[in-house]
Amino acid sequence: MALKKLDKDTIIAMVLVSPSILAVLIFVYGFIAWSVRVSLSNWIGLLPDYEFIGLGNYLGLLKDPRFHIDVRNTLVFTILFVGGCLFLGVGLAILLDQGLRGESFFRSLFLFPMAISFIVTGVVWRWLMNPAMGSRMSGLNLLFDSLGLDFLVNKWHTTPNWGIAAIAIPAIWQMSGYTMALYLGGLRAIPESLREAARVDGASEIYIYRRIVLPLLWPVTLSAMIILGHISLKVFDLIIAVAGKQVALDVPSVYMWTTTFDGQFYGRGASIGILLLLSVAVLVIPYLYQTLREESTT
Amino acid sequence: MKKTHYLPVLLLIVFALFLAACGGSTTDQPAATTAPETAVETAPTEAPADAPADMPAEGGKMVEVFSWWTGGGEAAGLEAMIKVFQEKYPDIEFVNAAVAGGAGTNARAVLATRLQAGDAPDSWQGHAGQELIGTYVAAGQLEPLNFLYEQNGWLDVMPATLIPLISQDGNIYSVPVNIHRANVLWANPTVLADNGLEMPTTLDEWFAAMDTLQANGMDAPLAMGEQWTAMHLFETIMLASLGPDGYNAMWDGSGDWTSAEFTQALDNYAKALTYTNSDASALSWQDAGQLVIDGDAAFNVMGDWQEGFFRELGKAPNVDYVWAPVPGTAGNFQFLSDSFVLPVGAPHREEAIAWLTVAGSLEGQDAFNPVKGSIPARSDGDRALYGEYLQSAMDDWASNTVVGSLTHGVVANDSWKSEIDTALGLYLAGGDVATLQSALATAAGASNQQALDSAPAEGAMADVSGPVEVFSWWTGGGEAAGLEAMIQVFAEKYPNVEFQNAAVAGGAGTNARAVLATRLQAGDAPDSWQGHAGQELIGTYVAAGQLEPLNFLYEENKWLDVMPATLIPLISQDGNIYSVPVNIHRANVLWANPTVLADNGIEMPTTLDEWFAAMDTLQANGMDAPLAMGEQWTAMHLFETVLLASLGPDGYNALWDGSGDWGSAEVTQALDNYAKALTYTNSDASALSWQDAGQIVLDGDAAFNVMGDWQEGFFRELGSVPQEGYSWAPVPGTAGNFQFLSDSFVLPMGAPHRDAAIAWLTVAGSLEGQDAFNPVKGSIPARSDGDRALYGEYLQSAMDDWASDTVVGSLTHGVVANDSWKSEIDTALGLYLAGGDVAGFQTALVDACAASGPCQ
Repeated sequence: MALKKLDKDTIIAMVLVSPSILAVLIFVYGFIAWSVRVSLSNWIGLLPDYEFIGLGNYLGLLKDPRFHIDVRNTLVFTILFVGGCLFLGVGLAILLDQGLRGESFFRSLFLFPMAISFIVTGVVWRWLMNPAMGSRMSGLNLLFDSLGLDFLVNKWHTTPNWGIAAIAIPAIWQMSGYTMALYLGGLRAIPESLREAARVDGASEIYIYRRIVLPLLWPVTLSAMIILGHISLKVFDLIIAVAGKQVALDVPSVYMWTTTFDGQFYGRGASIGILLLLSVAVLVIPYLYQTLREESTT
Repeated sequence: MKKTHYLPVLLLIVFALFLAACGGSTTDQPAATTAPETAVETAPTEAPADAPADMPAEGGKMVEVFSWWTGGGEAAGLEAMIKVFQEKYPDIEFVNAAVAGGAGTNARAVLATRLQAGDAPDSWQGHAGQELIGTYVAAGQLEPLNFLYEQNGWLDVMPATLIPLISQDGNIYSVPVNIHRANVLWANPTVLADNGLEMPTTLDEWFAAMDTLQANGMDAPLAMGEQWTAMHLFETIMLASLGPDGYNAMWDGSGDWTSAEFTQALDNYAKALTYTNSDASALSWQDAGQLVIDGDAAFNVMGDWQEGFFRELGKAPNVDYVWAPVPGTAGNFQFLSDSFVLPVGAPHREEAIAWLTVAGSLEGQDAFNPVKGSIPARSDGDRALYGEYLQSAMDDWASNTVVGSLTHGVVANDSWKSEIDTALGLYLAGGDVATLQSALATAAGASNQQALDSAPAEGAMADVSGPVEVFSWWTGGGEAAGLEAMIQVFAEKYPNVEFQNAAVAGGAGTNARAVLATRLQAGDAPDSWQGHAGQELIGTYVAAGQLEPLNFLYEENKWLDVMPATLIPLISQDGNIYSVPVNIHRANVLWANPTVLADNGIEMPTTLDEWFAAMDTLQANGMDAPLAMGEQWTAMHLFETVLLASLGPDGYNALWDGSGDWGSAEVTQALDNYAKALTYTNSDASALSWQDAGQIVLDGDAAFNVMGDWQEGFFRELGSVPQEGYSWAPVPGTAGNFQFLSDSFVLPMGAPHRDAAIAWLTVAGSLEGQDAFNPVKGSIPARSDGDRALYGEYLQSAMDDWASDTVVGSLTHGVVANDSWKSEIDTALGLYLAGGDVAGFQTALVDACAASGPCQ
């Protein structure tokens, strides 16, 4: 690690970078600090009121039945969404890794949904997951019904208590291709020699995947979990597009928005925002720490 | 390299500290934030920390009233009125913050300091008229008091010609407690009799009488004092020469200070001055009065406090002194008045209003004035309490034309008055009339220009020019087309005003309101904006002190006569009307499929029980979900109509104004009704829009849908025909009630182009504007005199109901509850729909009212 000399190039580089550093300081960290301040205030209404009330907003959220629903929905959504994406992603990656013809076609096909925004996904899946019954039946329910798969006909996101699970379906549809791409990269990085050696030792293909390939993919799984996890915690547009603003399918980001801008509870909205930030930070900071450490050792 | 990991963290910490420091300072920096903060702290329970040290330990209710009445009859009169106040409000402590000295000059300096420090008293004394208006109203310090005048019927007991003199833009800003007359001629009856003179009634008679006196050896028949008494004489002669209309015109900007009539008035003044004593500038007004009493002069022009001085000397009316209006001013009452005001953000607003109520009451005024030696501002004072002169003044006050005094702050603001004083002083020091006139004209021009710059006169509305930026969320469909139609009417009436359409699309107004909030927080208000009439506007913008009351517009345009009387309280706060509704939608409409009803032998239901019975029949006939509903807000829409049907209009209104009990058995019954109604709804409701729900009815998959009358626009768009494809009725149990919502426009405090904004509001409230907008948008006009021929069958029926029904407000659409309360109700409702029970729902509603509504 050579010490940096303050030569001309370094100075020029620092000058060129400083505007963006300043912008990040103000617009990211500055606003985080301001949000923390607002979250500790009793600001209700149009004009700022910075009266300090400590953790009052946070304690209020702990007792707020709506926030309980938010947390539960987020947990259900995260588990299903992350789990579904990992499962489908690794499965698709292994299938594509078999060296079949037209691999690049399928790879693009599975990756394409990621290019669509959650809003578009949400609108399309809202039509597909139309919960109407009887003569107004349409979408997937109509498909199931006409195929004779009556047992699959369901109320989708209007299912009491578990409607949030239906919202995970479009999210999985959208992000599993991306997870597949991550895994495919990981698979390609595993030296063929390892598998050859296992085969020579008489291991079955399933055994090879269980004992050699999947353990070697663990770092990829960790990365995918973190990336998908923070998307899941922040999910907002998909919920709005599929469900609108209804408490049964509420998540913290939707609550933050409605309570702040519809209800003018700025203090409460800011504290939800801070809680969201903290929950994402719990995921991301260890990951960043690890990545930075790895980079500095290589 | 490891160091670099800590660098951002360190920077962050440093920056956070820096920011916290900034954040700390911003709390007490902008004046705009302090006012609402104090307003919030008005409720005594909320702000024990803010209360001053001299606050009483018990109760905690107090009112601090600021005046310069510290001695003599004034202080005694104030004490008498405080006694009346304490009898009426025994639990409010009266803090008398009187400041002595300088006839109010000291007090006003102290007051200015306190106001600049954000430490306003609850009420203060000031001369009614421009002295108050030009100083405190111009600075946005005073609340209009029209509501107090209306509540107490003061307009009926105070002379009609007084009101414009204490108002600005139609808003009344003070409560006058006493009245003094400026245009009184005091005379020595013995001197008059000795010289064979009658009391003169015209200027010429007066001058002739003084010529006689001078000929008889009295050098100075007219006694005068220091310079301000010369101004006092000036204003009375100006009134005598110009008459009341001409006099008033000089002050409202419509008169011409260079005219020949005014030259004549100045010549009269110059002539009057020739009869005055040469040592005038060395004398006080009492000294001048003394000259008359002593017979050294025959006449003195002074306000009626001179009588108090004469009585103090032990002189008798009609024996030692006589009086008359200044010659040429009979029939006119040139007044001045002490009055009390209500500051914006008064620390104890309720108590201050109590004080003002006493100050304007008959009892309060009859306690104060006999002691102070003035007459009550009310014309119904008890004559027996007053002396002979005051009785004659009371008679004149009730019957005369009221004009304002210049010297005593009624007609000109402080800066204008001081310029006139300078001009007069120069003239008295040896100038000529022509110079005086041009100096006065310059002063008037400068003052009027100033007035034009800050708040343009209303008279010039048609010549309004410049831009007007109007903010709305009408960006598509019938709404945008309706707005365009109204803009066209506006452009015809005000061709010089450039209309800037600052519409923001998306989210049924949610986006627009977020943008508006950002702009307001940044101090970049548009000239007018759209909002749902009612608490959504009042709870948000009025609470934040952002809106001007519009009573003056309603009065000028006689809108009160053409809008339903039950509408006005719903768009008002404390008697102030804050918005101009342009359209009206009805929320409590039951839409039905007539074919389905006929096939099942069902009549349109008129009560909740009939309705439920009809839906039972439909379910028995195989229709699972006879009531079509959509996403969560349509569930709230159904909720408010069932609430109205169950409680009736009075019970419903009581829930919103805080007098009703959300925990009552009646509300439980209403919630049970709502729960029952929900059992008839489609299971996929939360996946449907309101249009989807309407479609279901049109398709015959459901029989009923409860939705606002915009549903009819959707039906027509689909090509359906009224009475064939769909029929309608008030939601069962709500006939005779019109649950309304309305889009309206407002006038922000400090609108960048206020006159243009008023022009826009005038068009928005006009018959022409509303009849241009509403047929296109598919709503009815807020005015009840719209042209029926322009509207379709449904809208015509709605217009009839609007004119005759009891008007109640909608919850879902922002009329009855402010945003915070509504969002709490929305959460409670959502939790209930997500699987809660009625008891929990009711508890949550009770909590919501206590937390964000008026229930305490």
